[in-house]
Amino acid sequence: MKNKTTRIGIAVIAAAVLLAAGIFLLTKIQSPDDYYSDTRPAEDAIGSVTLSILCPEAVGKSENAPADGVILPATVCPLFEGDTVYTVLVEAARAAKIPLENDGTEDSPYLVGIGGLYAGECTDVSGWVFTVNGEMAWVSASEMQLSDGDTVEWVYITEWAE
Amino acid sequence: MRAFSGYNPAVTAVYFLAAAGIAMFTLHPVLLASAMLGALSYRAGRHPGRLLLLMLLFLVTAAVNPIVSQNGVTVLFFLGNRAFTAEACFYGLASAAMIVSVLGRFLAFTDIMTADRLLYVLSRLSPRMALILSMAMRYVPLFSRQAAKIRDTQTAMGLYKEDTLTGRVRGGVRIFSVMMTWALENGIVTADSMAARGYGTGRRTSFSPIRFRASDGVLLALILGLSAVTVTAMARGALDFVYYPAVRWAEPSLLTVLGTAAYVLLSFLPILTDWEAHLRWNFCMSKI
Repeated sequence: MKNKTTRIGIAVIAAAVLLAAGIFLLTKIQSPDDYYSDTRPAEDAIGSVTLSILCPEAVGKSENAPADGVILPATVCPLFEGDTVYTVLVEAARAAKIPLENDGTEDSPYLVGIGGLYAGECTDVSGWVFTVNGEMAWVSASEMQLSDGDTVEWVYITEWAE
Repeated sequence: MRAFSGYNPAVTAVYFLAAAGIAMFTLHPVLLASAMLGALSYRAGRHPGRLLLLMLLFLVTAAVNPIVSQNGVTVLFFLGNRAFTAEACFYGLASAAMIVSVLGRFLAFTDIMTADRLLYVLSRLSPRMALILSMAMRYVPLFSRQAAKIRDTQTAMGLYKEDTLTGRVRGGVRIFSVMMTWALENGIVTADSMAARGYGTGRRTSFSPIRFRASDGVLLALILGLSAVTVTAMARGALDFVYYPAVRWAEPSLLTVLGTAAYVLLSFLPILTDWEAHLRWNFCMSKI
């Protein structure tokens, strides 16, 4: 009995060590300062887009929403080859030190929280949607390709009006 | 002088409801820490394996929260694009403490509440539930023992040599039919035995060795009083504690101190009661 338990214990510890080593080596662990300053080199930019993050409907309903309803005012962000709405958001949040919470994966993101304001805080259907050039896209943020001069808006909605 | 488990079961049931119930509705770290310590240390020596498992559960639950939640303003480090925040770690610790303390209390409850004590409490709440519980507690072990006896006897007679599926099903049906016959006959024998002892001749009385004494009343008053203080403090918002997006707590006031002290005392009440009995016993023994 004791041998079996010891063997199981050793197996569990070995698995944990391998998992930790894998995470450490395969992903990138950075301190906050490193992360915020790890921006992409500006020379490689092929254009620019304007990004803004707004939450006017959440003002007063949630204490996490800033009083003027603007988490990120209209900012010009560099556009790189193959950038999607999600990539631009991540890089802009990195530059402006805005916290993001993604409940999905990198390939299929679901932005649950931007700037501390989370989906479901105000009403049951409240959450983040994005529009490109004023039109709401019906694809995931990582599938929406952008071109030079586009305007992207991330808006927090509290009602689903179609 | 009695150990905490020796007090009237209704009083101990109220205690567990109060201690676990308050722990479920608060996120205040001091309250949760005292709930966890109180739950884990009560009768800890009797179940070392259980203590280890609860601690493991605590560590796993506390470690999982920062992985799934990136909420919080204080970032410790970034894993790819994922932020590991200090607030998520604190919330993980708090929710883990809540789970472990409530689980520990429930486990202690099952330890203390033996069959007769549970029946005593339930018969006052719901006689029907008490009847079903007493039937289950008597007949399930009795029937399984009888089935084992029947199986052993039939094996000794030479049956059950085949191990195929149909053979096993046939064997099971054989045992079941014998069990049915025995159970019905047992029912008739029990009824005759009860009638022979005078069941049904007069008004039915029942004997219970459990009494409600003055010390039970004192303990009940203490439990209710301490819970009332804590619940009032929680209702007035003196014990509010928020983790996201930044750790914030209510302005400490007299009510905060009273509420915290009352709950700490409530969490350790069983151990203190046991201790008091132990000291009194030693004192009496020393006089001999």
